[in-house]
Amino acid sequence: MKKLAVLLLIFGVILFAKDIVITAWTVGPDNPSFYRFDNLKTAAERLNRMLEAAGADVRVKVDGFFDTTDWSEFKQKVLFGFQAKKKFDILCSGHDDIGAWAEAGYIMPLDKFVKKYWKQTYYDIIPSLWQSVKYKGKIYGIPQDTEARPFYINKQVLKKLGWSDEEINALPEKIAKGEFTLEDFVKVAQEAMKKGLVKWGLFHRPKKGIDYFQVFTSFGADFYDEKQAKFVFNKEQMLRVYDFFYKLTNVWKITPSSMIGTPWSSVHKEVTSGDVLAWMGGTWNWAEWKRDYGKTEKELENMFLIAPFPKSKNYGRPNTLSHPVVYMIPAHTKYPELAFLLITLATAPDLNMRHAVESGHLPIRWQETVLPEYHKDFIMQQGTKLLPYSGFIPNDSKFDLFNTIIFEGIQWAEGGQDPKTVVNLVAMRLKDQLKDKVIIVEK
Amino acid sequence: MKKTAWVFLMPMLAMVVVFFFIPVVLTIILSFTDMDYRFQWNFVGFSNFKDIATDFIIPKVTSNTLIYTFATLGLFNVGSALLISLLTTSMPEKWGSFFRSLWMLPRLTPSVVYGLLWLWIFDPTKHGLLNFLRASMGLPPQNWLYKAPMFIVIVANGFIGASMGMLIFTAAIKAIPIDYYRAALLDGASWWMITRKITLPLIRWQVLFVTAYQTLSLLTSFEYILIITDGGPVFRTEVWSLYTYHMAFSNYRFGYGAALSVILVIMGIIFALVYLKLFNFEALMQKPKVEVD
Repeated sequence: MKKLAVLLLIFGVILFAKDIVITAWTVGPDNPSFYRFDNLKTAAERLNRMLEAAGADVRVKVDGFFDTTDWSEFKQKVLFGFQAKKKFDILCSGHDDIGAWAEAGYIMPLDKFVKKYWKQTYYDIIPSLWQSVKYKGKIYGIPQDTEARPFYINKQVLKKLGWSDEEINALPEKIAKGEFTLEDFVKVAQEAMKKGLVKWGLFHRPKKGIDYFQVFTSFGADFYDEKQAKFVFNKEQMLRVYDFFYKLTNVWKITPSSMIGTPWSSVHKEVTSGDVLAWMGGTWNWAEWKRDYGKTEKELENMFLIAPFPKSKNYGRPNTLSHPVVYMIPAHTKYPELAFLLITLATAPDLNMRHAVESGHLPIRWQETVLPEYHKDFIMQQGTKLLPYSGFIPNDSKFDLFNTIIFEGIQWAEGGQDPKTVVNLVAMRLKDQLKDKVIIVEK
Repeated sequence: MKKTAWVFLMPMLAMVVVFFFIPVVLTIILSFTDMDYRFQWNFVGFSNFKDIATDFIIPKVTSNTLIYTFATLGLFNVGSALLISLLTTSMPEKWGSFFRSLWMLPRLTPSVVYGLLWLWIFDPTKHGLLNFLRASMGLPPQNWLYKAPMFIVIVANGFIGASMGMLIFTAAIKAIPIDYYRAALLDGASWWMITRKITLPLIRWQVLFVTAYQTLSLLTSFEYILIITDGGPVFRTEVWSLYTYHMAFSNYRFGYGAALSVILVIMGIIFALVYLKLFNFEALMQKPKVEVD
């Protein structure tokens, strides 16, 4: 009789269990980052098992999508989703969106939730990452991953140039110490091209993005005043930056003038086929090259040295840039508690680690660094070494517009426009579009 | 009778009001706001229009728009369309249909696929079709998208745009009474003379329609430019409609984008009025007269 009652109870729970659908909008755009969505589904499975064990009559189902088109299309979709109050309860995007979306009231502060689960989960997050998810002192996102942007140098080419193994292996350290500068790299690239060892010396991303800000740091160019929350455009400093881009394609000719606009797939094919000496990329490229470009771990390890982006001879510092992707909760969701619980469960070390391994990103929790997977993964270890040189872009609502105009300048410079003119044009355009949100420093 | 006409017209009229007039009015109102990603209606008077007047990219965007519109129009959407129609109606019907079908093929390809196809053809690395062919002949890769981006977007658009005019002109030519041609042939007129004196004057209305329609269409269309060059390199193919799109949907300056689109609408109206004058629209619309001596 007792058994029958238990059975009836279980059947009753199964029969009348209420399904709550949590919709998550997530983005790669790189294909291997699919665990940003799948980890939420696994978190729901784990939660459902707990609910079942507790005899609760509620089940959670994760719905939504993982977008692999491109950042701007995804952000457009999200912005109009907010405006149309579409049903989505979890959002996964770059930390740099926090400024605009928090300012507009589209996402909710998460401080009280973080406090609630601090002792179970959040105490363990690598502290510097919290800086990237704050806006006006409040936490608006939970770090999902981070990464470094290594300067990939083809060491086989260096070997052919006559470098010894010792010299090659010491190069990342020399770059990190500022003993090997951008100017030194240009000379090596020109030599390699002259000897026909590579077609090109340096490739950078072919579209707008944040990678270029590494060059600013290398030339000591400031671009944000934290105290005033305003962008800075120092003409003298930016002249050095635009002069570098101008010379890349017009004087040294180590980068093709068609770099901006070349399809991504062609860029990756050229880099992985050994036609380019160095690539300003990201740790996630490692995973892409293995998954989408047929390279093996061994081949990649034999091909590339991983270093910070070099400083220039007289200015700046060696650096890399992190762009943590974060989970956020829209202000209009009906289930903020549940959405946050799922995010917390998806932040479990094993789940986050499988994302890091699969996608070439870096761990966000200390506990992950003691997992065996961490010690087996070459790019994860190399990438983590770069983190001391890392910085973030500002969480400012106008960052995207600032970035767009800065990028127009890079296009002008690489297109052959005189760098002084470029600086003036960019300053004018920034003033025009950002008005009092930008400080133009004349000298 | 009048009542019945209104009953039939009402559904369409309602749709025009909802999907055209209301958006137009909203766009005009929007152009006087500084609406951004927060979607707030903050009225700023003529500030957006003042910004447009001082935006130093605008002269480049204007000249790009004029070059793109009139080159595509002249070389393809009207020029090639007219030429193909004249030639294919002068040959045996079997061959005429065959050539017209060939020109219809790009129209049947989805826009994104078509755009990506052009990107692949002109890919500046060895992975592009043209550079692959050059490499097989031992030639270095060329970067056409950098050297002649405007020419490429004009050709890409033109290959699609020519088919519409071609169909309209062909239909118009075929509707001309055969007696005119027979009479002209009896008088010993050449192909060129027949075309100049009979065909072209009799399809003037269709030429006006295609020219005006395609001008307005080219002024507002940018999808192939967006896919192939995204307005680059460095604004070299940035046309007015694409600039509007970039401002509104990439930079989220909806108010500024709306102001740009209001100006675009005014440009369209000006062009339409000029065409009506040039083609002597009033005369075209007069009822046919029967002259009796």
